[in-house]
Amino acid sequence: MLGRLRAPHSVPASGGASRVYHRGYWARSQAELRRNPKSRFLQSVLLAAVVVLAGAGIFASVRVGRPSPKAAPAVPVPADGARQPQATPDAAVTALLDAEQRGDHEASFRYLSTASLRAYPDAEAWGKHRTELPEVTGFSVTSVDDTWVVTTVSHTPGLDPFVGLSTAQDTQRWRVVRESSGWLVDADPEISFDLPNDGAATEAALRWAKAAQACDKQAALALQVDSELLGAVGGAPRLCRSPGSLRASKPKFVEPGLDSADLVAQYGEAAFAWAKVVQIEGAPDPFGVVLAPIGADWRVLGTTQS
Amino acid sequence: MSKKKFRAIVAGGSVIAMVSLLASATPSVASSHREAPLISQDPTVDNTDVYAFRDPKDATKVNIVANYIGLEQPAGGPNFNRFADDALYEIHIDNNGDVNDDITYQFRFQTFIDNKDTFLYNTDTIAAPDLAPQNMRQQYSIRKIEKGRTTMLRKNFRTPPVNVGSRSTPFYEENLAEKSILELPGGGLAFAGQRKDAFFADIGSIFDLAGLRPLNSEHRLKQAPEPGRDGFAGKNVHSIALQLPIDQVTRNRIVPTQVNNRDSVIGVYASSSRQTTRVLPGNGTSRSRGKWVQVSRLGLPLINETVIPLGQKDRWNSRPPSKDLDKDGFGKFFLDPEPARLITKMYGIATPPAPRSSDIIPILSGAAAGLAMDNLLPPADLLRVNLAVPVNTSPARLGFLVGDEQGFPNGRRLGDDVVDIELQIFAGATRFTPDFNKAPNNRLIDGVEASDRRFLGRFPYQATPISGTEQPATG
Repeated sequence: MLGRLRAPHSVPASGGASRVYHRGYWARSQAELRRNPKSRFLQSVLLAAVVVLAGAGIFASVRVGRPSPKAAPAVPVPADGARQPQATPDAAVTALLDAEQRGDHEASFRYLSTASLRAYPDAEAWGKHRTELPEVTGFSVTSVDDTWVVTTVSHTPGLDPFVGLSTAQDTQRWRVVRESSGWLVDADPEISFDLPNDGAATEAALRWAKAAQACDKQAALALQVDSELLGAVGGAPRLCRSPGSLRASKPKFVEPGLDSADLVAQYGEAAFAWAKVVQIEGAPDPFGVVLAPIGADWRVLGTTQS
Repeated sequence: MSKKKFRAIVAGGSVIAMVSLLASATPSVASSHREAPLISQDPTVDNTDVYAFRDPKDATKVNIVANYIGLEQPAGGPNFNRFADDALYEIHIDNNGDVNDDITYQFRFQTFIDNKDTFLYNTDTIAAPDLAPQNMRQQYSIRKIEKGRTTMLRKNFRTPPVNVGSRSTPFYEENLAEKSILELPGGGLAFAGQRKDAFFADIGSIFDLAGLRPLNSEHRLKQAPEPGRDGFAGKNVHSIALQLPIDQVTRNRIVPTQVNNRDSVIGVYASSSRQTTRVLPGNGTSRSRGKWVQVSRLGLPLINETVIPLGQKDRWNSRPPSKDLDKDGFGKFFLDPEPARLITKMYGIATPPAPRSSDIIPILSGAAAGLAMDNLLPPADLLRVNLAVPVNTSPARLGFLVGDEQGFPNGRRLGDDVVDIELQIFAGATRFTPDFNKAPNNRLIDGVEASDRRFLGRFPYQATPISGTEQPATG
């Protein structure tokens, strides 16, 4: 799943709903650090951390399709030899996404750059990879230069253990390369998406908790991703007919730990980029509500004990 | 050996095999439990057996069964076996003979613990699945991939609890297993859960220098003959079973009737995958990340177990069947299978010389699944089943060796004695090598002829799992 989603940076959990991934964050951080010389040490530490994390695979998605030339094995020659360079960068990306929209991975494979063949040496490997990503239901090209083609790509919103999160729409930044007198595309784009706003998460969590307090299973179910809830049950079951006025906190991103073990088992570490937790107070036992962004809404995915 | 050279041998072999067929002949040898060093340490994703057979009650359906967690101890509490939540399980179907997936069914599992303040799997009798006394529950999601499109068939459907014992899970089949059969949208059934392992073999003796107890006196290290002992008696597995309408899996979307037609044959294998990296943060949890990497696969029984050498087994597990004949593949092991040499070494029995292009290769190409020698498919380690071959109401355990055309290696039924069948295939005791289709080659047996439990007469067919309380004392 990390192949699709950028690994998250440590943005503040509240405030802006937009989730920007590694590349944008890194560029912004560099500018901030240049303005603040006192942060040179911090910059060094941060750089070292990124290097270590990248080595550990945290930022694996950033590197997919563009491994270090020093470490890279020989680029395999595609069995069919059928690269199909296009006349312009946007034509190459459009051809690839057109094929993807048809579900024709064999066709989209032909627009991949030679370097991409290290990760996906044949159409079978590429096709298998693409089935682990949200299906493309539509797209438009929003900007083009000789290195990047930026697209807005649509999907059917949802959450499942095979693909992970499918947002209704995301921004995919494709790297293009000139090869064989035409343009081809690097395999894995940088992807960013906008999350619904935090206020909606708080509201959804509180509505769900109040439905549970009112013992209204149907109302609670309507606010959930699935009928079953992930994670430690905590205080949630004791809500039914309990006294007290419930209150909900501002959401924070879910963090690694015991409470998120089930979440990660199902949706991978990518969940840390989109799953948020809202603390519910005023109940017999305080607990957290874990939410997932499904389309424009936040839906309840599970609960935590604290 | 290059793919080109390998295929040249195969082509030559087909001609030889055709001549052999014309001569005709009268009929006359763990499938993959803990078969490779790495996967033997990871039983929850160890694919032990695959079965594929036309449904005996409804000939318009085909059953595909993939088993995991071999040699599962029924008395497995307090943490009874279950599927891995952090793994991807798959059943692959090739319906056009190119050895690539045309249809893939994927499965992901999810465990729920309702009460984390007790050590008990269940806190009282489980009268029905998903009720409160069952404290640890597992559900699964299933999706289908076909022609580049994915279809979520069902999210979060139950698996039955394991068969704990007579107090916890009475009337297991009726109360729990039957209620955990999923009706698939568009037709078909699915089941995922514990079953009695259908496989049977004397692995105790077989892996003691190829000992076949009934033939102990013929072994180089002689012992007194005795009946075989089923190493899988009293053992369970975790099983994923599908019953699919045949017209949803064949290339031309019909229930085929022409046996000698490539489109009547589907090739099946199962696999499991894990993500590239597992992190143990030191707080009692683990999490995985990275791409899915195949760690186990199985099409034909006993191939990785006995044909692929130790140094190659886990690499074999990591690759799809479509790569088997690549330059860095495994073709040479099929052409010169070690079990054949072992039969000669331990029993002094002459077997067909390598390369085995006139018998093994045609069998891998569908010649034992109803296809004529001039109409074979590319050789592949797929469990190929010809869905035009009628259901045999009196199945023979030795399958095609004794003229039961619906039996292994035309697919694989639960009762097919694949150990005896493959022993005799390795020894050359088939119609493809008539010079070797004679005693003692066609008398090689391990002495275990059936599972210790009767199969069900209905889906999911494998027998009710042995409960923890009824586990044999010597099991």
